[in-house]
Amino acid sequence: MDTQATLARECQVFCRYLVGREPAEYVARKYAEAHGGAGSWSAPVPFESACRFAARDGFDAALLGVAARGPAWTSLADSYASMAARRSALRRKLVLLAAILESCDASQGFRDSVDDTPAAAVILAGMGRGLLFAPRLLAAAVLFAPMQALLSGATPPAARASGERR
Amino acid sequence: MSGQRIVVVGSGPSAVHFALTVLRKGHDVTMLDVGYAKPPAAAPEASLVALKSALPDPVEYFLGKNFEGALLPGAPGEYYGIPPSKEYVFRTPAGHAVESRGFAPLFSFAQGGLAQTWTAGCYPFSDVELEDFPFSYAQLGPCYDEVARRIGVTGAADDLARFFPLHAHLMEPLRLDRHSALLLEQYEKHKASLNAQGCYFGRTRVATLSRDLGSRKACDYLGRCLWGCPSDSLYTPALTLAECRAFPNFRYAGGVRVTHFRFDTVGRVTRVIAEPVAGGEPQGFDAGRLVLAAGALSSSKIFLESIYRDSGELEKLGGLMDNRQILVPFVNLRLIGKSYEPQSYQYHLLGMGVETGSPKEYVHGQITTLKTGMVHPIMQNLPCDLRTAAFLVRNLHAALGIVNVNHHDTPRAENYVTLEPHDGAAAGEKATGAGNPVRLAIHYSPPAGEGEFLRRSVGAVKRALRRLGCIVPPGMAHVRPMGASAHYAGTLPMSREKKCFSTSAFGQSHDFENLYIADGAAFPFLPAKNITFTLMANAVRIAESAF
Repeated sequence: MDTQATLARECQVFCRYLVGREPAEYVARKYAEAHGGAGSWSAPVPFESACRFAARDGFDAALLGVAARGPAWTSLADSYASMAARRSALRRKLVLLAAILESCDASQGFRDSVDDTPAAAVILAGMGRGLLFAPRLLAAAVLFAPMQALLSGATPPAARASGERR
Repeated sequence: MSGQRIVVVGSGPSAVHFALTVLRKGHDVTMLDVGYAKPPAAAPEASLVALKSALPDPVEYFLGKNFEGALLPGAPGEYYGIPPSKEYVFRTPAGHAVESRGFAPLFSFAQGGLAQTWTAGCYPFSDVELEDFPFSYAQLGPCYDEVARRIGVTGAADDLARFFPLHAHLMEPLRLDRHSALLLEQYEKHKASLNAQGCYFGRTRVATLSRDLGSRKACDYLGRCLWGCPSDSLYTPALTLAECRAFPNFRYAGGVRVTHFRFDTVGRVTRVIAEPVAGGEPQGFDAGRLVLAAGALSSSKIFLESIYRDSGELEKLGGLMDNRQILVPFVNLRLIGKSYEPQSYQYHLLGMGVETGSPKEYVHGQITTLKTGMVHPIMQNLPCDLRTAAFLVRNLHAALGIVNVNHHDTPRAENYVTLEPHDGAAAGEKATGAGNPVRLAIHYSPPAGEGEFLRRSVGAVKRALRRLGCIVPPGMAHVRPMGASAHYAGTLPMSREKKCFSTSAFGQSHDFENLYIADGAAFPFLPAKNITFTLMANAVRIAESAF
């Protein structure tokens, strides 16, 4: 299971990636709670629930490790995962955080209602993001595709360590 | 009134409206039900958005204790899930076992049944759709009127009235959100060409109050429909159950699961056997007349298990039906970049009907514009990183909608329910004691040519949406598995002729003279409509005519 420090770091980085700001204390706690983190407000979630976020192979773990280095890395890793690893632990964790953020007070800013904006402006902004996404995806593919080829199916380091301990 | 006690099994829409009708006539009624209860509404005055700051732990409310409400990548492909506040509807008691092939059945053991999670669509069957029933609209019409008076149905006499006959006590429609209003405006502009293609739009009929009715308040547009209407303006059968409980001649026996009934040598039901959910010895209930209204699948299981326990025979009930549903998401180009309205009615306000050549085979769509639903299930399906997806969803939120396209079904012998030996019980072995010797087995296969029919109907829906200024993103239409609509019917159908495993026009079994089937099991045809309103009306008709 992830340590508290790892989860806190992940939550901080992923929150900065998704909404451009640090997570509120409540968000960080709920994120840890979902992973079965100790010190949660309520009773820990069952082991099977927490396992939904565990890395399933070496590539899954590596992708997560790279993404947690900082928001720019998260962006790169998520771009790749959105195409080639949609069910990876990284995507699961990001979707979990998105779900937590949209369940919180609007001040967290994740899905505040937009002011009415001309459709043309939105389309232009969308195209701009699309233009940025394409090279990012390309760079991500150069970095992660070989990694995926090498590490897919390999035992993730955390599971290996716990196996050795046993 | 003197007479023998009527035992009703279940507390869903059929059961409660049957019970209320006979209680008013003075009959003594015992209702047997597992009866998981709805929890009290959290902060009932708060809007959905306000809940996020009003509740001490909003994430637990929206996502659940174990975060089961977070729909993660790889979860079965639906665009929404049942929220934690409605978990009680799908809780199952020990001993409930089902095996299904080609069918994904839903069961509820809650007070009010599956309709505790319905979206309140109320669509009367037309005369053509009642062709296979042993009665006509003229006989059912007054019962629709009565149910509408009881529960409050809103709607309009518009173009969809060609598919849904008008009935009495129709309240004025609910307030439209901006997106729905725009769609209707566009329809008015393009009506001629759409009608020429056999497409009609209009207001859906919904059992949600647009003005106060008794102690229930009109909808206050809090945006909480999916999480459970806190003001009970959206009707659920638990409200009628509460009404029944006020009668001195009504006994509610909750916490028991009916397994079977016993009958004598001349085919009269004598006793109903139920297992306490909390454990313990089975209990017996004397029944003057027994009314099965536990939902088509559960009622069928009780019927089959009664025969099995008496004779050891594993019988089959053919003719199982359900509406095939396809979810077609769309983007309204005129609303890109616009703000969404969180303070609005969350479920469908508009519907569409598509003619297919045969009036019985018309296709019905319920149009839901996105207001306060969770968006993370949509975001994760977009082919880009989540930050970009969040930007897109934020700017497209007001423009998003979904059509739930329903298709009719007909009874076919190859679709059936039966029992299978379970937990070591051998076929043919007569089970005498408690326990769970058999389980329900459901077999369903779609009709030949279904794919082509679905392609044509979805094509017609897409063309109509395009005419209204919307686009359907390619590859996003989702065919729901059979069973997902929970409109189950047909296993003990009403029949004009007396034959085994069928009922009279009044739901009276042709196999057991004091047994009545008052739920969807007795329907001999399933049009492309939510059947709940007709379930309620038919139960009233049976209670009025046969009791």
